[in-house]
Amino acid sequence: MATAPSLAFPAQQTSLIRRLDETGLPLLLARVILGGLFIYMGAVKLGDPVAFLKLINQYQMNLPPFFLNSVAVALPWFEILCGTALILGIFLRGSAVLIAIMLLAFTPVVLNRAFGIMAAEGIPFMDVKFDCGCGAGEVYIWKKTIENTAFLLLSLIVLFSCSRRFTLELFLARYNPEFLFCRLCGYASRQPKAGLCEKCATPPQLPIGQPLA
Amino acid sequence: MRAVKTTLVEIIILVVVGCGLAFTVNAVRAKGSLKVTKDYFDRGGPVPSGEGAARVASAKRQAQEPEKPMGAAISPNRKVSSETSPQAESAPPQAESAPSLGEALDYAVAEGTNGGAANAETAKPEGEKAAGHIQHDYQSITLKEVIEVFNDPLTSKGLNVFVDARNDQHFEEGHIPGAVQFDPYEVEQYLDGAMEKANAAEKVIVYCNGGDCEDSIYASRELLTAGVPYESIYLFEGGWKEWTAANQPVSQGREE
Repeated sequence: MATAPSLAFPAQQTSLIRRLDETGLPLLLARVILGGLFIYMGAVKLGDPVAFLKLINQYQMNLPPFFLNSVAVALPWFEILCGTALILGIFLRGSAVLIAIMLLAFTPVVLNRAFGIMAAEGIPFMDVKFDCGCGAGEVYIWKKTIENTAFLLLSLIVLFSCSRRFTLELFLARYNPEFLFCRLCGYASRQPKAGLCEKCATPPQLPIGQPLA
Repeated sequence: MRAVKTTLVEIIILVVVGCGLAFTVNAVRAKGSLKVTKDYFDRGGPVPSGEGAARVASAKRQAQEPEKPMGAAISPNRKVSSETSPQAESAPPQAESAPSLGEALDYAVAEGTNGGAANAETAKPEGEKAAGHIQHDYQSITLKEVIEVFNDPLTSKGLNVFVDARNDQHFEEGHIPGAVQFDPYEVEQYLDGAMEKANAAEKVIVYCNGGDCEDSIYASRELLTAGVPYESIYLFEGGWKEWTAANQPVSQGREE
């Protein structure tokens, strides 16, 4: 029997967060925003790999040419693939982890370059502006930092959400005997009975306290 | 635990499919593909020698002198980064023969004329990065000299050629009249056309956007590798920005 996913909320936490998560809307919102943005940014980079390579080179990370060129070639595709997976609603946790890794890797690099420019040109952080290579052109780095933090939060929502409502995964659940979410409401099931979560598996109680036959 | 395992499997699938797609498309795409093993940012030229070496050495000596008020004798080979590239460091300076006094003075005056305005824009307090080209080992040519070459009757005969190291879009938006395009990131596509003109020329003046753009350095390296003599190659560091700022003639589109 499939065991419940370890990321499910504990039973006693029927909090506002869980009830919100059960609706599937926070996950849907996070997927659409993150997925759409990453598809867009990946497509922009894909349109001109040479320009993207030059932007990466400006960070002067002294990487071997093979590594630098491979990042320029592969990164746009990772972004598009993860964005597509999020929009469709498959491989959600894998996509969320990859996006989080990209954000955690590149944000400090961008900040480091921003601090370098601050020191070299004697300008305040709020005035530092350059094309960081994300696909949005020249941006103020303070704005970029806030954006990346927001993207990271969205990817964490996708990663830790226990709902699979409005996803392709739920639709394909009939073909997946090891689907770890309720086939009815799409929520993580800790003790699945016939593929249903505790709520959906428990018949409703009549006011007089007698269960339906 | 199962969720972690599932997540790991998803990551592996995404990475494998992503890499497969990326490198396959890169291999088959007609334009914009990158050679994964190529060092596109190798700016290392040969150890300069002869008259070219004298010119480069003179410029470097002048760069080490303290800055004078008019911006005279400022080497165009200004360092941008506090870290020099390994290639620039490994090429030992050649100062076997000093340039003639006239040559050095001409160069200094030319720099002073053009450097005043540039220095006003780019003067920075000590310790800060200076704008402009990163150091290179090719011969530099100033705007004044470029204009002289452009107006030289020998240019129309093909003895002086301008090489535009920018991509298609920038080239077609505007370029120096008569210039041949040579994108250093699409060498195979442009090399034959550039070499046809460069081989017949005495002076090959390479330019890109100017400022921090280094594409002219990489284009010069490719031309050098393809056999254009070092002494023929001149880097116009001011590039397209300086050319248009001086209201010089421009051409658009492609000349047949």
